[in-house]
Amino acid sequence: MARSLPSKLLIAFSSILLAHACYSAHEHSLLSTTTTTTHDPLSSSSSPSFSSPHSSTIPSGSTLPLDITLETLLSVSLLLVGIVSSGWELKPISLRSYAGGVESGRILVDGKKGKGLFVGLEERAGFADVRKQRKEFTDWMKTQG
Amino acid sequence: MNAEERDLQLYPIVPENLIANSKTISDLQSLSSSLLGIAAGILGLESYTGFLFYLLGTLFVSTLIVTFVMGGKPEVYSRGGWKDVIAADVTGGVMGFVLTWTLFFGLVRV
Amino acid sequence: MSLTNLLNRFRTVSVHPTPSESLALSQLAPSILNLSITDTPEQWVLYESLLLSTLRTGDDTSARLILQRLADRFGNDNARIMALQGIYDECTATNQAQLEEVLKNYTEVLKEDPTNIPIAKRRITLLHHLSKKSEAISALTTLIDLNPTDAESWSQLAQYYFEISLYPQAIYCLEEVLLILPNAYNVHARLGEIHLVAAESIGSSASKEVVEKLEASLRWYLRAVELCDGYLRGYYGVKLVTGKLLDSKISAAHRTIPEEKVNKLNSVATVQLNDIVTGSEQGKKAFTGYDSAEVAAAKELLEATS
Repeated sequence: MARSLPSKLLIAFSSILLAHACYSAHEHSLLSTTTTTTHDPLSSSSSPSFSSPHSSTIPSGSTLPLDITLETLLSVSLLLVGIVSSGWELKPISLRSYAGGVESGRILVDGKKGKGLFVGLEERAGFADVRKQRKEFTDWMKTQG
Repeated sequence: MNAEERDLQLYPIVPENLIANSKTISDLQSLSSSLLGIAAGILGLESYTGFLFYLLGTLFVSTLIVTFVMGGKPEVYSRGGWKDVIAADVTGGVMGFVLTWTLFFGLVRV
Repeated sequence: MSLTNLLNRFRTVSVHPTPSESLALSQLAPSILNLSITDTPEQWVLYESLLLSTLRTGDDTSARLILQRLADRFGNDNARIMALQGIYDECTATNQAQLEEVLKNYTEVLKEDPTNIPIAKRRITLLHHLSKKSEAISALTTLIDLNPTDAESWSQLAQYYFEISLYPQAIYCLEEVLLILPNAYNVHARLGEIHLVAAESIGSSASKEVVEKLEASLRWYLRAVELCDGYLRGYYGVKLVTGKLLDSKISAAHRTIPEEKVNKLNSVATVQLNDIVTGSEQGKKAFTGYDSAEVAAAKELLEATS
């Protein structure tokens, strides 16, 4: 599986974002169980820039602030996009398109250009006349000088 | 010989590719459903909302698979086409989802 | 170079390499022999291919060494090793008498163990090499009686019959191959070729028989391209045969396939061949698998008919 650079970057970025969201949610629940009145600088520093830091002042109850929810959803969606688009390869299941792909060189068998799926029937390795090939080789060497 | 067998004789498929493809797709599934579980855990979803989230999430993943991995042509890579991808997606990853869901639910909420 | 790299070098080359390919491969001998023996299946496969390459190029010292290592690992009485030893003996024999000696060896081995298939195949090949064609054919039919599901043997028998112009027998053998491997599209194309050659071998060029054979050939070629999209050899055959069927010398009365259909098939094949030829000439990535000689032949055919 050959990952392309953009999807690698996407995966790295969204993983960090997800870890951050996870940490924020953890801190949030920590605060909501210990302090319920004052807002804490910790949670404001960990909230993303698109919302006001003070909006994360904890209300009572267990609902997550909107910014953390959004951050989680966004990071997971990006991570999924990154993973799915990182070069997973499927092969056509119909013989027609698979064999055609192998013949034309579009599809690689074991990472290299195949020679057709049934080439063994025409090469017939068990019946290879190596002595004849050896003679052909000597003749060829003579023409090469 | 019924119609389906006849079809298979006329337009043969490559079983190895069928198996390899479903393996690739199930790999993707277990990965993605675990991630969905992480998200559900962080969000603190409970009971039905969690499973609803999983359902929506896998639909999203299926769409991604069909567009990115299959190039918009699911019938080329799996026998049932669209329906197959979604069905395999929804049923295949529930366990992984529940596992990471409960794990992160517990981790985040102290 | 690592083991996998070396192995890939060998895999891209066919069983019948061109002399320059053989030379390049056999020159890899020192680097392969210097690798430490890891006893993995890949390494032994590599050894086997290298042995054949060195024998082709006459590097008998390396060949001897490789064979020795293979025999040390698998034992001298392993059927595959025996066959490799046989190939070595065949290649290093300097005169006719020595070759006969090798042949006698094979016969003796088979007397003790008639199920030694690799040796049986070597014996048949050697018989054929010594121009004892009918003996080779009868030996091959005995082998097929023993092991009727071996597609390689059937295919080889078809080749032997083809060489002595017994086309119906060759066709029968290839049809047997198709019973074993019904999706082998290259065998379909081969059947098309043999029908075509059989049609051309008939003297009177417009008789009913010729038309029948040409139409049979067309049907095989069509199935080949149905099984394999963009199959150059198949489309080449379709174009060639439809061209012959459309020849004015052939009377319409003998035809069972309507003329308009043949015309349509001809134009479809022309379009496909054009795509392949232009695609490979421009070196597009989706066309790099085609053999350049085949592409050149297709181009020639297109130019001759346009």
